[in-house]
Amino acid sequence: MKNPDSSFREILMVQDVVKSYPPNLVAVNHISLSITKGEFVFIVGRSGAGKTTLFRLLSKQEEPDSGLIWLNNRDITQIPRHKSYLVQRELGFVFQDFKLIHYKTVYENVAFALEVQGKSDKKIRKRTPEVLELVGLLNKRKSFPAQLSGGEQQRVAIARAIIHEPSLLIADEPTGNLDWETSNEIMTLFKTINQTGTTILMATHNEEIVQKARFRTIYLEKGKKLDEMVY
Amino acid sequence: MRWFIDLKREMREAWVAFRRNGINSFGSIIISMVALFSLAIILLLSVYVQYGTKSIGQRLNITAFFDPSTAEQQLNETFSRVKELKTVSKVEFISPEQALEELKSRFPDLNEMELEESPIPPSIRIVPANSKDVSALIRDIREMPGIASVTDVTEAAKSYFSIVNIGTLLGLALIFIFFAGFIFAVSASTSLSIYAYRKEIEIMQFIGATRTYVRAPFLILGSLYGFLGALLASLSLYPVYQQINQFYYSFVSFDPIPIQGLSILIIIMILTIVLGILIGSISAYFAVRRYFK
Repeated sequence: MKNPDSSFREILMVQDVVKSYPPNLVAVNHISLSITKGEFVFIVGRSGAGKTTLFRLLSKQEEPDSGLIWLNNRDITQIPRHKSYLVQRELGFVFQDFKLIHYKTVYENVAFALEVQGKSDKKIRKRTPEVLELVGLLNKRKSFPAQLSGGEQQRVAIARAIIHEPSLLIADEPTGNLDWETSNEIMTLFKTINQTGTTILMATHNEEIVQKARFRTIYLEKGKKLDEMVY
Repeated sequence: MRWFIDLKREMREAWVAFRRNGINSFGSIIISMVALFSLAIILLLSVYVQYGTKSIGQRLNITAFFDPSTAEQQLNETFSRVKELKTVSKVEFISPEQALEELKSRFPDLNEMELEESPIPPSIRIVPANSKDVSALIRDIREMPGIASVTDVTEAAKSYFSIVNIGTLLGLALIFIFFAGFIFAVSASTSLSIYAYRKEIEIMQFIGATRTYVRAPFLILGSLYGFLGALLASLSLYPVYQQINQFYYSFVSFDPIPIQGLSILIIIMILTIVLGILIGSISAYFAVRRYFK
């Protein structure tokens, strides 16, 4: 089902979405937002603000109680649960704890995203070195995650998230486990990726990063949209 | 070709999970082996019991004695009716003279007695088609005209069947217990494997893996447990088969029905392996369903 209200520039539209958990926790409370193609948007809020739940809704790991979510002009709430992989293939995810597979090398971790999506070996062999080059880890392709620093591990996770050229890259506190200097390096990498045309939605509670980057910022508190700042 | 690549990957992942889950995998295989081994033995025994039942049936001779005053025409009619019964394998008419001769041959002392005529009334000797039908057959014959009495071999047949029935019940109970254990063990081991892979599963789900992609290796893992257990059970079956076969022939040494033991064994082995794979994957399916609920 196509969204009649959206322009084709909008990658994501969230309309009045509610998600609650028993007995009486409303994790996402009537949130609406939209993101246009090529944008870099921050979502800022403390723990329990609803950032992660919102991301889980966007990736169809959870279903909303009410409201609509349009991704690439398609209402993903109408997509059956067993086909949620179709939504996930349009998204890329970066997490605070990197979520790398410890027994796979850097190359294998990154290539894994294409393998899972059933891409050909030829495509995997072509694309994997390209993204590893982009994140500056081509020379460490044979290393295992345990042999890398925190920043490098996050770069591997970013490479894995963008290898299939997603419409929207979602990053949930990607600098949460990193020191200030490494966080800046990672933010620079995100900006580079954004400049290549990838839309990014990033959750953070680090105000300094937000102030420095000066991108559109949506503030959440207790599951509600509190404010929106456009620089 | 895509499906082949997928299958190769799923089998590889299943094998990795199998090795990672070492001790549990070993335990599951042993339990599935015990369950399938007991099933296979019970199947094998039931085949031999069936043959044995037929064989014993052919040795449970029923003798029906006519009333001495029965007219010859009636004797012939009753004889024909008995012969037509489906539960009868063989019928023989025994005249009083023939009966006396047989009696004398069994008890030579009788030869010294001067008997003017045979005291034994005319009779028919009946071989039942199956020992299971003995009771019904005796009942039918008793009601026929001219029949005065029938030798009752029901008790002998009954004691044989009560042993068989108790054996069957015990066997079924054992199968049930072992299979419940089998399903539980494979299901638990698969759950542990899934748990060990929870991080990879979470990653796969975020990077767009289909349900089949995530779940298939665990279903293959379950069927691998079942297959290996069944294979070991089948291989352990041969020496047991030899013992059963030897016992059977020492028990029914002049068995008129030749038993095709080896081909039955092969069929049971194949059946065991198929069942092992099937139940292994069904058990794994339960575990997968529970985890991904």
